[in-house]
Amino acid sequence: MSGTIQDADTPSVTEASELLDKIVLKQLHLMEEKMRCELNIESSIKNGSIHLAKSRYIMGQSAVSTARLPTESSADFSASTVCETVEEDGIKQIKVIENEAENIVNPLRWFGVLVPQNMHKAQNIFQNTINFIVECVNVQVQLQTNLKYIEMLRQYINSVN
Amino acid sequence: MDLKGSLVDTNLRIFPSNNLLDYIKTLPINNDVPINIARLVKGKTYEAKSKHDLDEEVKIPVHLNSKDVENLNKIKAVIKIDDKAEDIVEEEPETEKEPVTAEKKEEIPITAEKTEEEGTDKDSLNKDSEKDDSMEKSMEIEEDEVEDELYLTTSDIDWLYTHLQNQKKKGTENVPYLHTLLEGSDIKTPRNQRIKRNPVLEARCVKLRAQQEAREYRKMTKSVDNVRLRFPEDTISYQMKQLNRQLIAIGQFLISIFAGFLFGFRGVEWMVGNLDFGFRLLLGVMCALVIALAEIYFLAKKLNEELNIPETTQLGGPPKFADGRHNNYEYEPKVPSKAIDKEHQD
Repeated sequence: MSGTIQDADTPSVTEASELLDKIVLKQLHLMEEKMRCELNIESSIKNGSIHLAKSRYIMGQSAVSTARLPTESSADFSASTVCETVEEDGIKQIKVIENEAENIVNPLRWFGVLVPQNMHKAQNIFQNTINFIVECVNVQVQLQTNLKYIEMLRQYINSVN
Repeated sequence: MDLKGSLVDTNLRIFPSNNLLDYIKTLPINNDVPINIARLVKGKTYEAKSKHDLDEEVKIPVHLNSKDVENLNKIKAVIKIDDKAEDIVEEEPETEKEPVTAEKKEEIPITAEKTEEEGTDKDSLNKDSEKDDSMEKSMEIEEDEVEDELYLTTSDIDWLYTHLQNQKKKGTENVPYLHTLLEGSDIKTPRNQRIKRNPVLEARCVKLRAQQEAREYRKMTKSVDNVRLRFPEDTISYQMKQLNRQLIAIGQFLISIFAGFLFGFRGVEWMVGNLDFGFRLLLGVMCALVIALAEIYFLAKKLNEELNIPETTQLGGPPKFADGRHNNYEYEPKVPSKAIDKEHQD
């Protein structure tokens, strides 16, 4: 084991320790950022739900309900938003891209042709929430990789000492 | 039934281990030291003499530079090789692993809007609420305990890191690393604020729910109750009202058709000038036809409606709040069951 570590190009213990310091500090900041992201998601989902509730109040209970949602037997359609994974600085990140497929369905059509303005607002808010969620997922991914790094660095330092 | 509020501040709370405390106590306390660290040393009542601006401080960026990334990759390679050599297959689980620095990660639940539980089984509901209460109490106690302790925030750790780096640059010996200092420290995520449900609202909700249930029950049992079986439908006033409604609807229908006919028959003539009698008749009939078509829809809708008279009998529910007994803001869980019992005696 020690043979590989004593090589000239492997980083020393001090370097590794400083690296560990940085990662630990970064981890703390990331944890706070994740909480902020979750707070964003929470508030926008709340806002969207209130708009949905308003449109339900305007259009009536049966007009806006789960009964209007497509069931398993209804025609297939593709998602309007999809995510793809991009690698940046060795960290996997998820990006939102608009789907350009042909059979995209506007979910507002499920509830009628002339839907109230609140429904449009709710749709916009929920679409924005996707961005927040993706942001949150990215932070989560970073947190996980950092955890791996911390584990790895500790192993390294222990093995050298 | 309490709701959880949103998080107010998203700062982590770091409860220092003895190791970290010992180190912090060796720090010279002056006005540059963040207030939380100073308080840890000097006691809770310590106040900063001059307002300290954290923003002015020169912070060492914590971003990993390319050299760091390079080193990381090297270490990664070394560790991988070691693992292979020793045949230790250590698969990193996908889920969050408890880090060795004993960082406690608690899941922060996203406070979804709790939908009001509409349980019909009151007993179990009461039990649940009791359970909730006891849990809340224990949590509150826990929170109180936590409030008393001193804690550090992430910005304090930032400062500590900067401080350590400066010390190293000055050439001081035996400067500990931040991660060794943080080892064993508790990191807690902030809790959601609990919003107590207003007891007045609660009592009102209970009452409304009981009334709703009583109404449904009355509707359900109408066909088996001899007294109420023929009650509203067979009275003269009900029949008269029904007749009136339908006559008015038909009257409106006729009037609007007649108005439409008049518009075509006379109105157009007044606007355009002299017209042939046959043409005017045709115009009038056409207008009336169009309007009749539209009106028939509304007429059908109206005639299809059942006349429902709101029940005048007193429905179940807890007594009104006027009697002062409820003004002491106490939630009485027994009220709903009483109300239902009362309804059955009707």
